[in-house]
Amino acid sequence: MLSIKDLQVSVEGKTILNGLNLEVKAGEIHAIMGPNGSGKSTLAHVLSGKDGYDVDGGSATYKGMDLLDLAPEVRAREGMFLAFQYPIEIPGVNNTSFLKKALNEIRKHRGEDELDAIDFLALIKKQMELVEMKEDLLKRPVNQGFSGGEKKRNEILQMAVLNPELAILDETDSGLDIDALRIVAGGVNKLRSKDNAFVVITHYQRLLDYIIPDHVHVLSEGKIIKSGGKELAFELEERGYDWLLEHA
Amino acid sequence: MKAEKENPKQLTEEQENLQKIADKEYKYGFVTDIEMEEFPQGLNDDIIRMISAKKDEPDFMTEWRLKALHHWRKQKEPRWTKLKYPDVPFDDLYYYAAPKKKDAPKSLDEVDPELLATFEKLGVPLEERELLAGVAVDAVIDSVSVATTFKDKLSELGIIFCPISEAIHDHPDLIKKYLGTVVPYTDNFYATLNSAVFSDGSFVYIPPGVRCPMELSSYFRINASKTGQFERTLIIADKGSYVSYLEGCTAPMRDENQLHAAVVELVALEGAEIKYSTVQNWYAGSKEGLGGIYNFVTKRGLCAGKDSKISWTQVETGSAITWKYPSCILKGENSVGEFYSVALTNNYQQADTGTKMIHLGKNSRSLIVSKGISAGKSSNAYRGLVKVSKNAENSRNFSQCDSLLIGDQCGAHTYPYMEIENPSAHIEHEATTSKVSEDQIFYLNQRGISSEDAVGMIVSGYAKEVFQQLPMEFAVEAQALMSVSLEGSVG
Amino acid sequence: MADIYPDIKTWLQEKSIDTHASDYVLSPERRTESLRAVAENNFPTRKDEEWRYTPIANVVNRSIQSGTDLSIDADDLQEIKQIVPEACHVVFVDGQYSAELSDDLAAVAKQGVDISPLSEMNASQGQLAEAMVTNANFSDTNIFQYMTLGLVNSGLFIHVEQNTEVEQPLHIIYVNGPTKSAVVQTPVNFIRLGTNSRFTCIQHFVNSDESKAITIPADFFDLAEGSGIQSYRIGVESDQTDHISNSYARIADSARFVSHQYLLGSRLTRSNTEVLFDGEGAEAVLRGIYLGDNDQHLDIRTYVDHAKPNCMSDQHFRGILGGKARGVFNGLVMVQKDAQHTNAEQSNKNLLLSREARVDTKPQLEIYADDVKCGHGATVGELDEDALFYLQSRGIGREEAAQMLIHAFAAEVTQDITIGSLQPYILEKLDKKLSEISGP
Repeated sequence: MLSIKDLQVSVEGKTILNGLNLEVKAGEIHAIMGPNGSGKSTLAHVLSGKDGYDVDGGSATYKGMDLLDLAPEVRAREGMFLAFQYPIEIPGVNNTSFLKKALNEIRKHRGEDELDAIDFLALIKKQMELVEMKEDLLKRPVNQGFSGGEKKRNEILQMAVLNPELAILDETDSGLDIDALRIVAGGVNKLRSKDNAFVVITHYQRLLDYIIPDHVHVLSEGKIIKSGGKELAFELEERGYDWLLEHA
Repeated sequence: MKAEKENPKQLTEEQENLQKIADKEYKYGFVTDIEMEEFPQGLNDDIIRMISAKKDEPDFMTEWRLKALHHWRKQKEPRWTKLKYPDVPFDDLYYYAAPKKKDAPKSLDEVDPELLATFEKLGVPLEERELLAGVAVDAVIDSVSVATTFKDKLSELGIIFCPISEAIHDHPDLIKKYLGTVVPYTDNFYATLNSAVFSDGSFVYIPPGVRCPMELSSYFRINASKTGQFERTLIIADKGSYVSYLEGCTAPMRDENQLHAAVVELVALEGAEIKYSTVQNWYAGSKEGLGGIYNFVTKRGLCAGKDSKISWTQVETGSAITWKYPSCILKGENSVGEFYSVALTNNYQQADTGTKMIHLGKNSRSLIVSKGISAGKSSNAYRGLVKVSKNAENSRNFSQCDSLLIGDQCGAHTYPYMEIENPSAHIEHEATTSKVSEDQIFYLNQRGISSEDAVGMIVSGYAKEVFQQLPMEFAVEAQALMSVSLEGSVG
Repeated sequence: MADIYPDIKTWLQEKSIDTHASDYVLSPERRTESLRAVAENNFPTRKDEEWRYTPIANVVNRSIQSGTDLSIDADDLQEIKQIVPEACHVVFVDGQYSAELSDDLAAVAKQGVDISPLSEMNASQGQLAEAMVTNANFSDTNIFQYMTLGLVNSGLFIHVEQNTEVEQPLHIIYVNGPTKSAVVQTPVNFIRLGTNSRFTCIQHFVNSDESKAITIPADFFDLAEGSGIQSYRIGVESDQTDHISNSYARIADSARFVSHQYLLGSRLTRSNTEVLFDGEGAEAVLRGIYLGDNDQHLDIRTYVDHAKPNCMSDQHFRGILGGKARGVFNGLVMVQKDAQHTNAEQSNKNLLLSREARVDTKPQLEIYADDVKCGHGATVGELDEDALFYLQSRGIGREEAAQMLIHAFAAEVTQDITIGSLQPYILEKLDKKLSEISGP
């Protein structure tokens, strides 16, 4: 589904990703772990098409397409979803109408009929139970006045509604208490299927207690320096990143 | 200058304490008894020629001065600010006053001991041991540069730091090239007057790629009565160079008002940086609002080259009236302008100060941090302009203008102007107003801190962001100055 | 038949106390005095600080015609009335009250409102109006005020009785027919609210594409203790209309003045709103949007005078400018010496949508009391890149994401609209104009 080969990315002349390789297949969950500054968020941003990153080399292919060539909205319509580490507040734009718009753009792209207000509301109500979100948050502007936990749940709600093929979770666990973490992880687990894939970016192992990855990769200085099964995460938790960095 | 009588108001004890702190006497208010040489009062072509001749200036300077005078004659005194003051008797002023001397002093030993004593009282580090502290000083008394220390050491690096009168002699090419290019003689009433009559000031030239190894400093003092002080400063930082310049000002106590109309021009070429810091505590007048300096100053910097930077920092505690807007013309691409200001007014002081950031170059950035503190019956205004011209793509400005009020007899005003002609600009202005609350003082009292110290602490905390921009020695002095100026303001 | 004058000054020369008005509207002294001031004063120029960013030479030099046939398309009018179907509609054509096109004012009177066109005012109403002008404090006296006070040839006198809550909004519609030269209209409204009364009033300035007008209205509001008004001003005039308005509100103890302005039309608009707190515990809420395109020039001035303690003012104005349009915000909050516990907020945000658009903003504070909470902020900028990316990352195209953000920027202000049917109308107008706006 996603194939990254020797990806090299810099910001204002400073190299951040330096030859990154990653293969993600449908039905898999990949965890990418790494210390601060290792390039985790850059990877999420580059894959979703944020401005300000220069791709100096390598490639990223998504469903056979040159991913890096697509506009951010086209990537989204093709089924790619980024759960933001810091979800953006958008004053004045209503949460529900924003999500309805997004869903219908994606459906249109897939050649499906747009959902009318009634069907959409039914869908969103169902998915809200998944993330145990209060209904009044739907009436508010996007993320505005939301607590940290509410923002993250709103991201998962959007994911549930848009039903992506590939979801990238960028430090979705940061700033969450244990209950919120369980809810967010629960949402992901209910959504996972043999047809979709997840890339979970995290600094800590604790999220992986709830979302069991098939593969764990350690990112350091813009490269994956070690890959393994879920047991790698436990080992990292126990021995810290230094252990690996010394061996690298 | 005397404001209207206010109805005496019942002050709470806390307020009285505050007022007491603000009312401490001006400690620099002594008069040095040295022989002065003054030209006749008034202003005409002859006086200008006399000033020019006295300084043995080249013809181009005399001509320039005369042009300025003729232009000035056609000008009207500006009255558009919030300031209230009687007319300045321009024809009764002395436009030139210098300490009388036989010959120019060759070393500190030859300088009039009375003068040295004055500087000592002021705490100007003119003595050798203080030179080791690394501050090069150009001291200006009334309008004449008395001594410039550390000159030799600087000249090894090709740095020119001397009285501007000397520079006119020795470096006429630089003067011709840069004088009046940032503040033309037609700029405004006071700048025009200054161009006609300026008698001295400092000149700095930093050659390409040189980082000036020490803080350069001038110290201005108005001594003679009824004189106007018209100094003129010109600083040029050539490509890739850096200089930090400090300016301090004091004046003796006098009943009548003295005029100070200086001009400061800064030019930063490609990649150069100039940091200009001012601590101004000219005599502010008596508690009743008598006397004090009128400080009408034009300060402007030109970021001429790419990646250049000019940073103004000012701590203004003195003068009866302050009217100054140190500004930056951000002409170079990626150039940066900064303005950090603390303006404290007490008693009947009036300050109208701020900055202008003129964005002409692409990606130019500016930052404005202004902290006004008003006490007593004073009035304190921030007035600033942020202009983004059509071609200044991606310009950024952030302005934070805060006011702190001490007592309920003072005024604090904010007049920001934003003129934006480019859609890619991002401009943000914020302002808040707060007071030193009795609860805060009480809290500190309860921890064993006197009301005076409490106000000092609160005000220092409030102004910290600006003090941090000052070189260490100056920051300490500025803090001390704040407490002195605030004496008796706990009101 | 219409007489043509080369400019407004010439037109004014012939003016004496207007015969359209009742003898009782304002004292003869004030009217004579004001007309004299008109003759003696010049029009403001950019040298006047309050007009620094708004040149009016093009207004002053327009050719003027007097006398019109007061013709108006009844269908169009009906459509405008239907925007607020529940309201009582009062119609002014080319500045003149039209009893024929207006609803019966007696229906309003029955709800406890003393209401009368200026032409039918009686002596006691006249005295009240005169007092309102005397009590207003003018922070920017200029020739336009003098014109309205000297001519006083049309408008309404409204006095809501105490303890009366008037549920029916009053919808005042100013229309113009097509003309060759500009028509000058100077309506003045005197709106008084008795103790604890409530009132809602919409002033709607609308005309056809062929209309040429110089509209110079003035409003005087007087809010007695505990009263409250929602005042709307909607400007959707043709690009051959210039509009220079002045509003003065005096607010007594615990009264609440809420003003909404939606300025979308005209060639040049200058809207001045002055609020005087003349009592404690009072509130003033000022909201506004100015949306300009092509060569439009939209200037909002506010002057909020906290002369008494414990009052709250909250200003929020947003500008959106495309084409070669210019926007101006010139606001001042004055906190007088004894006005302790003042709470004043002033915010102005602007979006520039084209290379040739321009905005000048000047949010000002003048504070003479120490125990106050005052803040102001102003921003100018493009759309937030992060917000655009967020929307894009959810599948929404960039162009459309931008439209959503611009719409949201404007729509946020409309949330405070209290009349149900008015908000969709305003949003529709905003969206229509936004969709046509000329980009970079």
